[in-house]
Amino acid sequence: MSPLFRRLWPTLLILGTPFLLDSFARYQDHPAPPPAQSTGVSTGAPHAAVKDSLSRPITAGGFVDGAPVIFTDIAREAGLAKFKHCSGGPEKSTILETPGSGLALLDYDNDGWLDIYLLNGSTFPALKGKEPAPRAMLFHNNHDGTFTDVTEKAGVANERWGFGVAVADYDNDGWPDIYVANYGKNRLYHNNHDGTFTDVAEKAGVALGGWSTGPTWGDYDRDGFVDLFVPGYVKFDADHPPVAGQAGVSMNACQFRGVSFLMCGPRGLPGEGDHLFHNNGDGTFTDVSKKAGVADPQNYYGLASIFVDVDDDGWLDLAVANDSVPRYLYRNRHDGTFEDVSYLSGFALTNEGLAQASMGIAVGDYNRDGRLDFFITTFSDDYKTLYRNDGDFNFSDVTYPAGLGSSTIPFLGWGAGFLDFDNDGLLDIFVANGHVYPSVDQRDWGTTWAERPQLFRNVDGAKFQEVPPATGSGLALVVTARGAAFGDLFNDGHVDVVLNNMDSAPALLRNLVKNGNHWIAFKLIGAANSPRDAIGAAVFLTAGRVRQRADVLSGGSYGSSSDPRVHFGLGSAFKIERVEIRWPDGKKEVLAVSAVDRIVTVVEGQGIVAK
Amino acid sequence: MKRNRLPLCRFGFTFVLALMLSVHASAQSALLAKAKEAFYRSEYGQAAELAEQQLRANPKAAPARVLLARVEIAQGKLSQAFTQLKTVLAQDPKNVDALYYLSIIARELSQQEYQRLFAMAPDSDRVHQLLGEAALVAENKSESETEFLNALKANPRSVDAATELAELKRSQSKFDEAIGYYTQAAQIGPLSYEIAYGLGACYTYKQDYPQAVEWLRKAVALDPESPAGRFALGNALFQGGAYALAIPELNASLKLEQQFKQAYFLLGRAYSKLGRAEESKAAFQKLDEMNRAEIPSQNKGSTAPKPHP
Repeated sequence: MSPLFRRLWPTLLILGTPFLLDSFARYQDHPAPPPAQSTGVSTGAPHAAVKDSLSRPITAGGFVDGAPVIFTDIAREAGLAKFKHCSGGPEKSTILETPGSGLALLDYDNDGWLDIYLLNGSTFPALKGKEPAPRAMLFHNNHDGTFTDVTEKAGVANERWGFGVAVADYDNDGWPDIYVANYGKNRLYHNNHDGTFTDVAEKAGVALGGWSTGPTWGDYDRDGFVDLFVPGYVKFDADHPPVAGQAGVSMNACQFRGVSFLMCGPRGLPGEGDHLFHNNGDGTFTDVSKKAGVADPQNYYGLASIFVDVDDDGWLDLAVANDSVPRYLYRNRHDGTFEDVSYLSGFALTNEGLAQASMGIAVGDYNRDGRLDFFITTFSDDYKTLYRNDGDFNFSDVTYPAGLGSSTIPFLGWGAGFLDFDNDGLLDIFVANGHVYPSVDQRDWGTTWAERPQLFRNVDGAKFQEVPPATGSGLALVVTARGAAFGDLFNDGHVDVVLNNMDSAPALLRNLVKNGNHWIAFKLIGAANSPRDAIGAAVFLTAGRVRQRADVLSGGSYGSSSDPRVHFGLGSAFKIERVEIRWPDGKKEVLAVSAVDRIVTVVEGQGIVAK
Repeated sequence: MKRNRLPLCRFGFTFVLALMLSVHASAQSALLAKAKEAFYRSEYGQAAELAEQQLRANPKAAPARVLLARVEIAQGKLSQAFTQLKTVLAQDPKNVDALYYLSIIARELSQQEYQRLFAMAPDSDRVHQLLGEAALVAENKSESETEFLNALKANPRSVDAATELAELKRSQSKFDEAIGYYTQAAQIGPLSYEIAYGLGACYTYKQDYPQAVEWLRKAVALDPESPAGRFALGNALFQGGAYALAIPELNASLKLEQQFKQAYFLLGRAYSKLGRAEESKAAFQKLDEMNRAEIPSQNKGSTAPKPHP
């Protein structure tokens, strides 16, 4: 290094995530930790802008003419454009306006087709009753590629500032119910079996009242009823939003890349606690957060959560994505309590021990070793992290070896999912992106307010490759995405994606892949000792001598719930050798499946009951 | 009656004054908005005129002066813009916008000086090296790469050029290319901390831990007082499963830098892997304490919202 350069050194920005390892080396003249560690939202160090050949930031460019079209946005034709998301003002001057809302894919009328429930945000005047509140919308699937708005009849408009939604049949009556996490009181919409819902949150004891985010359902105590976990984000007073330099809010709580913004937080603000509600089986719930050891003792900023059996002991563990601070991973002790294994497992932080601004969680067995792995979405200037489950609550951050490092850094990720978009038998990764600062567009930082989503193809169970965003396709859609849910909306064996986009219409990315690969999907129905919707069940399928795994999960992504049916791509295999189901009550069942390319319904203890 | 009228008159005067001030402020704000619009339409002449108009009315109007400076930057009048921004900073040393645009001007001026330097000695590896470093400061990675390559071409034995190229490639996650340049640099001259550390970091990201450990040991030998070097070695040892060997390195990094949260994380994990539960717990507790200290208590800052309908 030249003497001149040494003089310039203190003015330099850290150059890239691989330099996070040596962040101290770069700041050796400065005893304080790197500044990026203490600003409002960002956890990564600033990176140089990546631009495409037309000098567009890669987050809103990089389109490839003539590339294969994987998805196309049919929201308008499908009738979803009627919904317009709204989250405060265009400047996004407070943190309440920035996270945005999720969505759910559910078959609310049990007609065998997925319907779409899109949450909406709100405005400050609406909170004070000075203008009508934006409405959430439920769209019924017409089975012909179109959807009809049935919100009014269903009674699920919410009309509160909605962030997360999770779907489950909490009373085991065979009909999916909807839990909505809001700023303010939450909703528990009980399904009345006639196309209508009734909000029973207060009666059930799950209304809360602070700022709730991405909930998850799961039967953690194996009593046959799904329980509910609701993460909390930030304590926020709408009448007195945090202002830099006032009421204990430091200036750097309102900065990104050293530049001051109106929006402050989450760092520097008090965190909202998390809640675990035990389902009493009689329509009511009991808050057992503290007793169970998952009440968020650190006051972290929870955004997403998911019940998942990490160690395959048949008991659901719990993962929580926290913004800007370590993530939580709780091991189920089988006695109604959880052990915090966040650090021990390596899940809390990156390999190098750095906290990330975690927004969403995807769960899937991408390397087909029979264990569930995690993919976490994070802020811009940071990579989106792939954790390989090495067993016994050990996770390895394998982002870089998997090829997911540098290509994800400029983007700010939210909803995410493992999905086999090409039915080749390997789980791919989809990420919904969009920034929290509209004014990043005025800076030459290589990131943008509206961003394109990213799809990473699983090459061999270890490496991923970004699928080129074909010009004009769904992957070239530049939107402010937040919630993302995944499911076979058209029952054609291809997994589609729905995005809830901040301050705009949603996107329905229809999967157009036609490669002749085979597939199969299972709708599972639990018996008396399992939740009826089988949340927590794991299916192991062997075809073409390849063993895959898929689980019935609730939540994750960002504030969103995906298709409760489990889907397997089979590649060229047209014969299934073995299907084994591990039900939530611990029972195992082996099925003989004679045909592929179909959705089959399996009842616990009865095998396949319907095609 | 007169007594009663006086307060009324005072009130009226105050009201009119407030109204005038409000109208004035509103007019100024509208003027600035118009100036900004003109600026974004690239109508620099009009933008400058509107900004100057506002400055004539209020010479201390920082937003107008910053806008005028931006116009001048866009027109290439860097010296004038520099003066405008210094004026703003003289009034408000913490004006973030002024500081930001001043940094841009400084960058541009520095580039211009480097170009003059280049004109004096176009084939010098030293000049290419300096140009590359300047481009790096300006966050122009492609230009810096070109210049470092030119420097290496002009002098294939330039350790600085090879090292900079290696660092550049590492920052782009192109670890194999980075390793190539680091190795080239190591072969040319004496091994430096930067080269050894860089190689260690690259091999760590490639999950080739034996190689990473080998190079990071060399880095630590060259600079035993570097907390980053100690941590990186501890990390590579930990990731490679050498937990017992990782512990002294991680502890050494903590001795050098007590607030090194990352080291506590790996230390706790390493102790746990070795069955040293109490020490593991202590490390994680320390980490928790440090994390907790960064989050305001529930009683501070904003409070829970009132229930909404």
